[in-house]
Amino acid sequence: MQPLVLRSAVARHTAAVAALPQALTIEDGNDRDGIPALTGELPRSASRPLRLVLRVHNAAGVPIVAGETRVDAGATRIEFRDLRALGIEAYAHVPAEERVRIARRIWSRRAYGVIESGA
Amino acid sequence: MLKPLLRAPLYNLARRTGRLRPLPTNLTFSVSYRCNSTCQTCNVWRKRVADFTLDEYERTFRSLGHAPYWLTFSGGEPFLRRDLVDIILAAYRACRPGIINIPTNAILTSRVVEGAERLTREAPDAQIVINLSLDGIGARHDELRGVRGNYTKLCATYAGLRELRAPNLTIGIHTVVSRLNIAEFEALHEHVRRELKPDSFITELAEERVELDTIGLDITPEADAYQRVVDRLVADADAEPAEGVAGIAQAFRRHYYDIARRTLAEQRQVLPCYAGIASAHVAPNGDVWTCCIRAEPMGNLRDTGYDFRRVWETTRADELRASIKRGECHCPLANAAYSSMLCDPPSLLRVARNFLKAKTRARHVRAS
Repeated sequence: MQPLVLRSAVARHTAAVAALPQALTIEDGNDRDGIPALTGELPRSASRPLRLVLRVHNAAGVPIVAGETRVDAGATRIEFRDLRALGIEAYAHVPAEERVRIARRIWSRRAYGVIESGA
Repeated sequence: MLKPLLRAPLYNLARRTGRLRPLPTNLTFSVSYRCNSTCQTCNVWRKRVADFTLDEYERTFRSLGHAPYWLTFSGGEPFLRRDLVDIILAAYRACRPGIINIPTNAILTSRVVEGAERLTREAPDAQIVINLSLDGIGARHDELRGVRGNYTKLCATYAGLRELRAPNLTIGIHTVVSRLNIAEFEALHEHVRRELKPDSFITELAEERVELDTIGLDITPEADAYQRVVDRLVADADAEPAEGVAGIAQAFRRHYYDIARRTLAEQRQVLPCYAGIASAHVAPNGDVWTCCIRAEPMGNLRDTGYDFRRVWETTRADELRASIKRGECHCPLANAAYSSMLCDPPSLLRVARNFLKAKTRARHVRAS
């Protein structure tokens, strides 16, 4: 599967702590909730702990999937394992398998990702 | 109309500087996701959230003051809420809007007609616009919207609204142009012009929206096919040029169609977007969005004691405005586009030119 290309929208303070990868690998076959996990490696290890927020956009630039992860100081591995389709919370009343179908449909429109960061 | 025009320079400055945050002049409230249609171009009827109560709306409207000029109450199907008219009248009392727009599937005939009658009577200083959704003719409409008998009910609702003869009531027909009905558009348009003759006929492109959960549905028509629709709409406007207020509306609409067509073809923000500045959308649970396309919350009114300004001034709201200004998204959403046109000087010039051309044509038509 093609990796998810990242566009740079990284805050200055993140750039000072760690450079970010150009793309994230899509963990095929790991999409129990309809959206797979995404992984990547920082080009160099983080000098401080990082909180990274990922938004996946469709071709019109509309965010459709989001999630966040933490990277410890000294680590290089990035893993987004709890991504969710935006608006999926309005489907709490439908069976889990239906939510998975909805999330897969939304994920099918992914075009690129943007990582933003907290300190 | 003068009020939003007078505020336009303020919004323009707000967009340029990112420092001012005037309250929006154009606000849409989705009062519920519940819907008694199951359209092929929309999944909103499948969603559930904890809807705002009348009391929560009243507190929100008070916090907005007289800033909004154009209010839209949509859904889902807004008339499914039995307190819809009370909500709208609360907005009328608190905000004194000039235009109140209500899209409806027109299935609940008596509720729509009685509601419109009460609104036109109790909100005399506002123009009440009821837009009936029509996506096909007869059984085809029912098929697209997933409700048997919908077309017949729409015709009954239309007739009931016509009988009201209220001076501040505008009855419109609203068509969502999608891949599913674009081939039939010409016949539908002709049907509307010849049979229904509404006060206004508006079309909107079917889009992939987070709000409607249409992301991943293949509903947006091809740019070439939509170009033909635009050509047809423009040709009809040229053949029947309107004057006065209707002429101004027609001039705006003509410019909008051009923007929508170009947005679809060029896949970029053709018109500088003022969503999150001059316009905004409030979800049924009180989330405030820049627009229903992105549907990203700036914050929730329940978390701020229903103080709209506190949500409007959050860091997240500024981030979203900055993202839109950078052109990171693009769409032809009509509601936001109209307030963006008002704030965009080149668009206003274009609209003025459209209006003057139509006026000249109208004179020629009368003379001949």
